[in-house]
Amino acid sequence: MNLPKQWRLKGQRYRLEGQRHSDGRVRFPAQPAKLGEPQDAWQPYQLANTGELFSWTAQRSNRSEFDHEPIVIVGIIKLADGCLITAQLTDCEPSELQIGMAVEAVTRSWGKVGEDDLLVYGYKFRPQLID
Amino acid sequence: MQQVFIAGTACTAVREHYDRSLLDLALEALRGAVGSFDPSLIEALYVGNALGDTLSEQSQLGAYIAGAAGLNCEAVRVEAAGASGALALRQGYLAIASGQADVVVVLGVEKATDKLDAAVQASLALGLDGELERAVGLTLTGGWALLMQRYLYQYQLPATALAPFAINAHANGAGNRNALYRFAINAQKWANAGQIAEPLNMLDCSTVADGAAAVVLVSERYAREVAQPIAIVGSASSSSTVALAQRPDLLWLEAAAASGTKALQQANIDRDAIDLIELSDPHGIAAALSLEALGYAERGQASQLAAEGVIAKDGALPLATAGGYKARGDVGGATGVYQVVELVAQLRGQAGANQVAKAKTALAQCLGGVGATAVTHILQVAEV
Repeated sequence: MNLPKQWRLKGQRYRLEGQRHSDGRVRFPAQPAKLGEPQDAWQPYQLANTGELFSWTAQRSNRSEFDHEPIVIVGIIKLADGCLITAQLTDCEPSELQIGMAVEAVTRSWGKVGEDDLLVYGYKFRPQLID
Repeated sequence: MQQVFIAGTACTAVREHYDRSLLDLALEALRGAVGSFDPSLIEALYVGNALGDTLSEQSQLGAYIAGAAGLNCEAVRVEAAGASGALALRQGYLAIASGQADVVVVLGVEKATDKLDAAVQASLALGLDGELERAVGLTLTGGWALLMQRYLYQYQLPATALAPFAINAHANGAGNRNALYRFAINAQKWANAGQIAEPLNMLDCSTVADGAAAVVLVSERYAREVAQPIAIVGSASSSSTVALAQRPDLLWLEAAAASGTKALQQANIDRDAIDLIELSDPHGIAAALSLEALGYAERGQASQLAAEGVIAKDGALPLATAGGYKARGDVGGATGVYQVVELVAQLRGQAGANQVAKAKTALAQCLGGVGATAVTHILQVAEV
């Protein structure tokens, strides 16, 4: 993770900005048009911030940047608008998790960047507090 | 197109080779594969390697290794995460098939133990989507765990349903002197193993270790001079999206299915003609999804093949006869070349305690990342 990239990706990481196709399909994150597609086929779209847990894992062997955390829980979320997104799960224990449970997006720290240890933030998901 | 044959093969033992460098391992495998063949005939070297930049802090491995071997020829490193070696083999195959060369060498090499586990995990995770998966903390093992968790839910299976893949791999690894783990495990040990990335436990996760494997590929002109040449009758690769969440069907390895179909079509054989098989099997879920993608099992039912002994050494479709990722050891980007070295030994009747009877045709499929790259080769006993 580095600062210029975090700045460039602030829309997707702070606001869950994705894209919607004229036929109703939704995708994340925003991407250039695929070969053969009109350049304006996909328009900016803010994704739903609630959904259900599609899959999850609790990692106990982690990479250097996350090695200080004994467990990193990562899930795939199926958002209310049908889009899948991979995200860390927070405010929960592995024993609470079940596929199909309702979850909601929150903005949380993703870690520190650069020699000044600047905190960078982004989306995580937690069990939904209120239906 | 020219026919392509495998002449020489060799591999190092898979170990934590703390006293040996990447070059030491590469040169041992190259010397073994080239044997008494005249090195001046070698027209190209293709090196499959995934982790060299980060763990050995060395790029330009083609020239680096060719120089150490005394080869002054085209030298290329091929990278596609865990599929690097298989894709290097395909580049070698294409060089000969196209008529550009008559003799090339393909090397798979990985030196993982110069760094500690967290750094190895970071290097392996480069095969994931950097902005969407690695940035949120996912590891390569975690990626497969996400697939396994969904698989168990969707098909209403217990985690133990996938245990027979690791048990089979360890049973075979016990008979392979080059294997990292030469001991058997049983269902109870598997069930009691600690979690690594739930639901993947320690005995359902391969160990990344050091090793190198090499093969010499030749055209028909040179194959006539080789004892027991093995023909590559099918070679195909395909790709799908790297990010799991962007796949239309999380539990379908699209690239594995496409490359397998293409390779079988090229070989002009049905999948039932395959006598034994090597897959990317760092976890039981990877083997199960690959078997389903190749059409050997209906979706959600691959674990039955393992439970019923179909994948055992004396079964209808022996899998991982040298121990697979789990027992032979996970040699990262070198794996695709190891698979072929092991299958050639089977087809030549040189597999010792793990020999499969009457093996004539074999399939090797190797995946990169969580199946975003897939490379399939089909090998056959040749008559030249």
